[in-house]
Amino acid sequence: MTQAMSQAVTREGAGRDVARGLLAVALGVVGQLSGLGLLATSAWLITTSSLRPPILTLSVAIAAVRLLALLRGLGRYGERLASHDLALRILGRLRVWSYRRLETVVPGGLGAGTTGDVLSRVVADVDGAQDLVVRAGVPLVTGAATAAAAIALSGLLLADTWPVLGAGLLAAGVAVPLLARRAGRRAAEVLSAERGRLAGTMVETIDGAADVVAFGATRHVLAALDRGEARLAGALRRSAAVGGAATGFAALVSGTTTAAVVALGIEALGRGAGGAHVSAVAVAVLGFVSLAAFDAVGALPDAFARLDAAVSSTRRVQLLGALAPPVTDPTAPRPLPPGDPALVLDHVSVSYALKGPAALESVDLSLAPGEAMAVVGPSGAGKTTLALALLRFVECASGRLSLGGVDVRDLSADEVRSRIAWAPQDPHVFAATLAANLRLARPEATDAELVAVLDALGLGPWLSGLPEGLATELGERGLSVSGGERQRIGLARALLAGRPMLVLDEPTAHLDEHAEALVRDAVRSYAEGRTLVWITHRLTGLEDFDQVVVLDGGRVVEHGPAAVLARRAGPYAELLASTPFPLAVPSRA
Amino acid sequence: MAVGLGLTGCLVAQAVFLADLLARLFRRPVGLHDVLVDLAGLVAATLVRSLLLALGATAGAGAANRVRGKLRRDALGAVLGRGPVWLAKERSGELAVTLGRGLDALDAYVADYLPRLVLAGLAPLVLLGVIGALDWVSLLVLVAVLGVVPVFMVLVGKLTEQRVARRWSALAALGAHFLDTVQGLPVLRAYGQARRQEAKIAEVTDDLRRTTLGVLREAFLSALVLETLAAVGTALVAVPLALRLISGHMTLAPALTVLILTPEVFLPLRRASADFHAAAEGLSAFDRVFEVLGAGATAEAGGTALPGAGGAALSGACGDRVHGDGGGAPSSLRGPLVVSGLCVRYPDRDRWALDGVDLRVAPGERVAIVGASGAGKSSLLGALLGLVPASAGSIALGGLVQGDADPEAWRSCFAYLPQRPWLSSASLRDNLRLGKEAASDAVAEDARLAEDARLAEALSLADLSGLVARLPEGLGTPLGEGGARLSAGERQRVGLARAMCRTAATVVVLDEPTSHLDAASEERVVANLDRWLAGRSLVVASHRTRLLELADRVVTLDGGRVGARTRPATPRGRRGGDGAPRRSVPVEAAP
Repeated sequence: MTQAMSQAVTREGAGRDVARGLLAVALGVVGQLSGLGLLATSAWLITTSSLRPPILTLSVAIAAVRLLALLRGLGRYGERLASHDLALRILGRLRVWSYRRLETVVPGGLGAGTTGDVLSRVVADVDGAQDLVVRAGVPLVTGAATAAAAIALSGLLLADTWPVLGAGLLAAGVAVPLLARRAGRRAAEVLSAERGRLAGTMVETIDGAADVVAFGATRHVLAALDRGEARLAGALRRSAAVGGAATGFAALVSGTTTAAVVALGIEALGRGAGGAHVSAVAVAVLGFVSLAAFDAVGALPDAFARLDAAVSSTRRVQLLGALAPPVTDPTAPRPLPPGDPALVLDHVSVSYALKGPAALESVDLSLAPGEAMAVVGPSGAGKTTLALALLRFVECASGRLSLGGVDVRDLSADEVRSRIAWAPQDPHVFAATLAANLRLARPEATDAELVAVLDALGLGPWLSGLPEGLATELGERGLSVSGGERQRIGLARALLAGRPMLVLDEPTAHLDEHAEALVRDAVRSYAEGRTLVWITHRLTGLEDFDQVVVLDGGRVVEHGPAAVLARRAGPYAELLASTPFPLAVPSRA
Repeated sequence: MAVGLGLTGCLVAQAVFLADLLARLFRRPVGLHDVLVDLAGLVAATLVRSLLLALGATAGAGAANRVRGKLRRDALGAVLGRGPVWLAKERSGELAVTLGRGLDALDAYVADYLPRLVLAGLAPLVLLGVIGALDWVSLLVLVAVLGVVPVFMVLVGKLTEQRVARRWSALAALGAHFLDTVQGLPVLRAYGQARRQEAKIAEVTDDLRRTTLGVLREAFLSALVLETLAAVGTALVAVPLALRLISGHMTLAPALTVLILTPEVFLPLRRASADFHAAAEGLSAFDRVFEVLGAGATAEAGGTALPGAGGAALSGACGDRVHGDGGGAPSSLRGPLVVSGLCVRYPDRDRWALDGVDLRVAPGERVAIVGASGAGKSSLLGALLGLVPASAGSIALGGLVQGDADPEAWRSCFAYLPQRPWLSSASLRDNLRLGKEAASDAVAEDARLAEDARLAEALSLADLSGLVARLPEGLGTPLGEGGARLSAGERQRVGLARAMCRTAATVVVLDEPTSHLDAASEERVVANLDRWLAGRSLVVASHRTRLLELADRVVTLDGGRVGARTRPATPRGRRGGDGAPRRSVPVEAAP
């Protein structure tokens, strides 16, 4: 772990965490040793009984057998609870730590496409890191401790046997899984590559289903699938063969070691009279100890496999620590002039990676307070990057972006953002009530205001259909909202914020023409007297914007009023001519 | 099954040999030579068991391969058979994941879980039989303990079920909170709420820990009961065995055998809880695939499926000519294309996409379709190909009605360019040859060269003559995901070249074929198209003046209906194969 991370993870009572870890291991060892002791004592009991001793000499063993039987389950139960408790405590601190890191870099600091996908992977990795304790660490230490106890016991019973049992346990519990992993690595890589390739083929084929069908290529696509499946089948067979060999080999080691231990015992018994203090009972107990010890290391291969995954999750989480915040505040920020400040971009360039291509290149723009500007261009033209730059989520690599005449580098980013109401392209709907989702930007907004905005955006009928109106729970576990609804909730959030500048990124992408016109009208009336930046790839209804900016490849290729641009044979007219009409069913609800 | 029986048999043999060996030690002083048979037996049984374990893994992989391969093939076939409209309604991304990664979850289920399930049912029975044969008292004890298992499980279940279920939903909400917050981070930052969430995350995670432990305390109870019963079973067997050995009612060897086998009786039960996840994942993968297969059946009932196969074959139709000589005008199925009363309505839509469209395209006639976005142009073109199912009305080509034709044969009469042609990541050659038999290795070299020449010809018709030379591996260059190697205009023209490779087609259907082209390139493409069309019919959706000049007639679509004013433009005789620009066609119908 990086220092920062381990500090965050361990600051709060590292000692207590170690104690909890030890408790989990101790309980686990109690459980496993009870199992081992149960078998060993039972073997002693039975073999001793066959010599017909007085029954009283057995009473301790009989009691021990019963006690150990109960301890076996209890120890395991306690170990599972203690290790989960520890893992969840670590998880809590890890989450806070990674959240603090993400808070400085999202969006904009994770590269061009900070999609929800990247973020969910981070979250999955943070959660995966807890396996390090529950599924890898504790089982490994517990298994090792139990094996050590078994080896010590065999040494006490007959000194000759401990190296044999030790070697066997080491082979079955450590060497075989590690060797199998090495031997199977190539097969596993091929297997995962083939799985990935086939998954890619499925995405591609389903994407192109219309063309595949139109050109009658179904049979060829299925034949190609068969070829891919055949390669995958081969890879799976090879991978399974390695796994099977490992399982078989471990069983072989276990059986032959037990046979060898017993044989050593018999040999010592044969020498018997000559001082080696060993009885037939001890030899029998040795055999059972060996059997039970192999049972205890049986969980190790799985723990090793989990260790791999958990360690790589942890490594990926660590990488968060190395991410530099894309925007840093000045030590003494200047105050932003009050009111609605003018926005000026002077040769602004933005790129996401140090040596990567520029997402915005030498962009010049100026927007007076109260003006409305539409930004159009094909996807990948830099429209969203422009919005992120305005919001100070990404830094300008060169050029000057000023607000009210002040270079934004001299302002605190929070203050810049406090003037802007932003509706992102794919606004997140939180698992909370509709009202809470809308009030995010302005907690004091009244219910009547919320209803009015939703109405204006054409969500009135939707709202009246909600089971609990504004109090309806939305999000993953509540009511699921369609793309168009989500977009308009994000838009309503921005309109409610009551901030002097509105930056709306593709606010109508999921809407049909009718709804789009409604939304445009609502936004125009809410934006009255405010500065509006309307980012879109649709070219309808842009006539009454003060200016239209056409972006392509990160550059402003044309700007001016829509009516002028449409008449000129330029990029805007080109876009107008090639405006794509959605094939078949446009919205994928 | 056989492997499972074999494994259990080996277990029994191992136990018998080991017990017999140990028992001999108590009869008289022995040396190693006295127990050689037992030792050899023990090692042999171990060896066979190891081999069976390895064999079982391979067999399991084979079974997984068969199940997964068949399911994936069937599901993809079903998806393609349902057509693009059904697909658009589905979340195609999710579908692709289900049929891709989703099905991989089956491997562990079929290869590992199912064999273990069989073993879990089989092994305890066999082992109990062996134990019973050796000592019926132990059998009774074990049967009693095993009989108690369900009782305890029901009791534990009853006790915890409600509380676990209640907490479970709270747990899911707490678990999702972090992801929800992180995904909403951009919005939170924009509105200055991000920092406030830090404390909330710590608080929620602590709640999560408390609630989880509360759930686990009860959820692990069943495992505790199982483990304890297994251990108690061993103890309950061992003590009476000892007592009967003392009283002389029992001999040592069978007693030891029973002791060795007793834990094995409980092993499958103890494993069952660990296997739970593998089982759940595998089953949900099955469910999703069957959902795909099942949803299709409902879609068919709902009338959105493509015209079914099994219709009349187009004997002697274009399909037979796909591999034709590549030149000359098509001669078969040259009748008119007649659309009458065609209505199309997409599922979940109120409006008709096409509302009673009538259109007749004579052989060799060229018709341009214009209209605003959403007027139904693409729907009409899709319906001609049979990609968009008709809700009412009919389409006929040369007198054969679409619904009666074999869909593949029907489509082979068309050369089609969709608005955004799909390119696969395969080579340029494979992309152009979409729908043609893969060239087998047996094909002579010169035949392949001839075919490459035809592809190059099609590319140059689409104004891409420089493309092959520019690509590092020529026609064999992979185009990258979605044709990423090419520009939008090039992708469109590759799509056009692909359409023009279908020399057997009698009807050419182009959807905005020049929307991404500059004027010079458009001029060349349209001139080439004019020549290439020869006697073929053309239905093209476009607003470009240059393309409209190519048309004999311009048809306006408005809100799914044919516009009021449509009239033939140029007399047919005026159009020749010379490719010379003709005078502009007046478009009379207002868009």
